[in-house]
Amino acid sequence: MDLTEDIDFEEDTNIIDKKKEEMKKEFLDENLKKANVSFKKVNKNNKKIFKRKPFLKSGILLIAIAIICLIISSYSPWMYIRYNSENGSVEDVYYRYYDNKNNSNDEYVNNFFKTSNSSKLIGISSDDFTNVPQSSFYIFIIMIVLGALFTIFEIINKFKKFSRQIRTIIHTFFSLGTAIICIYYIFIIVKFLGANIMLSHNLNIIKPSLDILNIVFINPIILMFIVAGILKLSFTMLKINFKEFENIYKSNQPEKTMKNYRYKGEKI
Amino acid sequence: MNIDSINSIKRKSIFLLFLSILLLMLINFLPILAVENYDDTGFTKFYNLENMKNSDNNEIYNIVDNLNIIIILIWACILSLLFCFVGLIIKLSERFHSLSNILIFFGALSIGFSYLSFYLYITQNLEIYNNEFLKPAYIIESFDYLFIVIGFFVLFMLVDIYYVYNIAQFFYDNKKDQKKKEKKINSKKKSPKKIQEEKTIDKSGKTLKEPKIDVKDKEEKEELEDWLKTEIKKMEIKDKQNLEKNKDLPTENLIDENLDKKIQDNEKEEFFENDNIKIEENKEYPKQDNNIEKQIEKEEKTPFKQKQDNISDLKIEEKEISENQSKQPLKSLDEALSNAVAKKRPGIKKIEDLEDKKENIEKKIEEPIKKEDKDSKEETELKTDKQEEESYKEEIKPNQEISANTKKFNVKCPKCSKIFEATKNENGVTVIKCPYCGKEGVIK
Repeated sequence: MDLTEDIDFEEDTNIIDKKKEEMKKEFLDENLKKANVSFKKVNKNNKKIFKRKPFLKSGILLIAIAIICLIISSYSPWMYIRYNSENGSVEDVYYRYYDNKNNSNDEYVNNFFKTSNSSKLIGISSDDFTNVPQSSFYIFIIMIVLGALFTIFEIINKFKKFSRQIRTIIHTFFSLGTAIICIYYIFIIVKFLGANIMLSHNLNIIKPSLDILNIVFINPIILMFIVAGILKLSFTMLKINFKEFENIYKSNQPEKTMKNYRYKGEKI
Repeated sequence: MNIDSINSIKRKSIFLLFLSILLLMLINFLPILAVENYDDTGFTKFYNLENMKNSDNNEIYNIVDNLNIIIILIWACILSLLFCFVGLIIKLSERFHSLSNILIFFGALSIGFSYLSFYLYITQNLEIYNNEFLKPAYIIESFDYLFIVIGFFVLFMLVDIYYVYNIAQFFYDNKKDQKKKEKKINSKKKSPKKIQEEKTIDKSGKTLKEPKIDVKDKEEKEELEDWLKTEIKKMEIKDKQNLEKNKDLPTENLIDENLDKKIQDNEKEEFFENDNIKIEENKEYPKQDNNIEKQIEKEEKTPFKQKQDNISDLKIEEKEISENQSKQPLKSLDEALSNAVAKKRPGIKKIEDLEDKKENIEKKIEEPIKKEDKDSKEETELKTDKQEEESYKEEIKPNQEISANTKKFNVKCPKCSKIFEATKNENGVTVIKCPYCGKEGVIK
């Protein structure tokens, strides 16, 4: 073989290498351009996921509901009563603290709702119309405080960013507190519902003292429904927190438990 | 930590909470007692909890104490269930483990409270039944109010049993996991045990005992096989998904193939245009060589060679045994393990790929050389090898730079939300700093 052929070969290999590099660069540039497009798409999806924050304004919502409840308990009637008297059937409305704005103050009604009488027959007396509104006032104040604390915490969180886990744990404790308060309030107010049942059972015994045609405890029923709604909300908040942690846990964990296995004497 | 068990506990705790709240309300407002012929009026008077509290009768007043205890116990149930629910949430957060365990354990106490309250409720109603003047309150004469409460109580207790069983199972699983972790930590601390294979050859060198496999090893092997099967499935699924995703994108293999084709064409054009040597001639060489080798082997069978043959036979037997042991799953095992190793150490795979490429290039270069004379082959081989090595080294350098997978893409800063270009290293984690605000971050 001649030396000239060798030189040609060397030259050829150099040309091939250069061509290779050029070709690879072209392919890689095309790939990178397409990859950029794909990355942008992924980022858009990610933004949507991270922007979601459950119940950011739950504290404000709680304050608003508690204020509405306070207004209802103080300004709306607690009892509507219709009874037969000497003058015929009489309708009357009683507000909190057993306050009668019509100033009728019928002796029959007053006598019936004395603690010695009515509490034995329907389980409610005039004292309950003062005690329950008072306790409900304190309970709604506590709810407002809880809501305020929660909103303050959220505001602090905006500046001093807590970790997501601590935020949700505090969130759960707030909702737990509201749930306990709500259950307690329903427990207190449910006696008015019981009074309605007792009235229907003991109507024959009550009739001689006061011929009651109809009795409705308006405020307790409305408040009971509202508080039950708050209870439901607090439970949904707890559930959301649970699901949030569950998703985080699932994303952190592999599908199957990771185990160390040995392969040719070495651990993988 | 098993998430399914946590979910089942959560579902039951919510159901139990609903039941306990309902029970509390029912006991509070439903009529409990009925007194017949009240004050000789001939009417029956009904009592609920509030009525009973204000009663003058001592027998009725005594029942109130019992009911108050029941209410307190139900309240304890509600609180324990609520705390358990919160404990589950904290448990999932993987923080405050001791606190979450205490809260969940507190939830398990609900069974005690519920059973005690049920016992008190039953004894109280039995007392009412035994009393001459008192009767349990009824909706219709044959159906008492207490049946509703007892029905809910029974349902509550049945669910509570299952609930507590789930909690116990959850704790048991947790302890198991902890023990396993501890074992792993201990095994990591100790020096790694070498796999002992008992391969003994007799003096004659003919018999070979199979390696003894312990029961534990078998179990581990089975576990390993299962795990690897799942891994292989996962990899296959991932590959399919990647193929589907990157249908439009030209893959590295495609690039390489295109390149190889072009190179081959170039080579053929440049090197074999004027050559008249037929490729078919080369195919005859190996056949002739094999015949000659066999003849030489037959002629040169000395006693020393016979011993060597025996040893080689033994080695073949060893291989056969190992192959029989491994069979099909272990083949996949090797593949999967090599993949796993490559996953853990991505550099290894790339080097292997590069080595494959090198071999391919060598083969391509060898083909034209085969057509030339043997004398010229020896001379050219030396030169081409050197050139190839040099070219390979040159090829590797840019390849390594590319294989580092430094992909450029646009990133949006979470702080200032400005977009800038960043290079990402696929092999590991890359740290990025925002050029506008200086916020540091990591791309995985």
